[in-house]
Amino acid sequence: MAIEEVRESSLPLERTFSLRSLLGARVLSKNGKVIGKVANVNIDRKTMKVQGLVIMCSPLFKRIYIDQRYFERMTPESVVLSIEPSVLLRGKKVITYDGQALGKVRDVVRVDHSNTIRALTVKPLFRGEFSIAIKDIRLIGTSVILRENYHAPASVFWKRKSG
Amino acid sequence: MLRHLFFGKENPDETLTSDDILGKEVIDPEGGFLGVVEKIHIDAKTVDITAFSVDKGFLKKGLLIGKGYVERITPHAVFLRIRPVLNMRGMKVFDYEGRKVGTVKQVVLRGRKNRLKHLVIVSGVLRKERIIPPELIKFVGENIFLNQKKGDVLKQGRGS
Repeated sequence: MAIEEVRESSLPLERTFSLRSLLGARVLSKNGKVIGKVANVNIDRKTMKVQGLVIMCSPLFKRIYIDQRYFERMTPESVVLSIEPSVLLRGKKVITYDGQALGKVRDVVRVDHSNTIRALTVKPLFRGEFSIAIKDIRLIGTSVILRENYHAPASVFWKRKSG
Repeated sequence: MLRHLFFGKENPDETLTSDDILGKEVIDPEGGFLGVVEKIHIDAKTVDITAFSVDKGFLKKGLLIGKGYVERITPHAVFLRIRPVLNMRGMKVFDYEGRKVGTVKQVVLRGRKNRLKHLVIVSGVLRKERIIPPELIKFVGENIFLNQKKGDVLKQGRGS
């Protein structure tokens, strides 16, 4: 049965899709990583516009909230983000410019709640964690690669006992 | 102590040995770990290194990488200047709007260079094979984004 529309100058019905179809939609990062699925759609009470999405991240079933400013494209089947969510950097390997593994990302220090990274907390194996400022990071890709002139704390590296 | 016998102006302190290279991790420009250096290939006539064999792990096919694709060798790793296109195998393929088109089954190269000729993907419940030429690929990251919508890709995509 056709739906009767009551609207003024807003989009016609066929150019919209329902929120219900968005629930469970796949969420992809800018890099094509499958982040998870849409668990909830959050709406601004005053403007009545979609403000963000709560995403159930696979495989750990952790939930994150992404502001609509970070949406690139949206269809009933999927949402593509314009960012790599920095909160998902946890667990990535951190290596020096020379390829030496320092540890894994334990935590991400951001500027307020934005996606801008201020620093990373790195946890080496069987050693205490330490912080790396964003200025010391050369590249964040499959791993985090540090700049050539970065010197990790000496306590990070295993040393043989002398004698 | 080794006695050095060098012809020409080689500086022994600036050279590497096989011990420095064998067993080292091989890392692509994105920081992806590809495997470890298993063998070093040398031209029998010129005695120059030509390539490195990379062991990608148990039950995985190895990779032979020409020395031209190596950016630098450090005490801890061998860094490549390229992301091997063959690593696209197994990646998911999404259209421009994020709809899943299929999964890469096979990567066909142009000759032996790191240049893509086309991808063979499988899609749907019946795992039908389709060919995706490089012109349709918008971006390759952790997975692959095409620059067209799924419907258009499936219309023009041909079977392998």
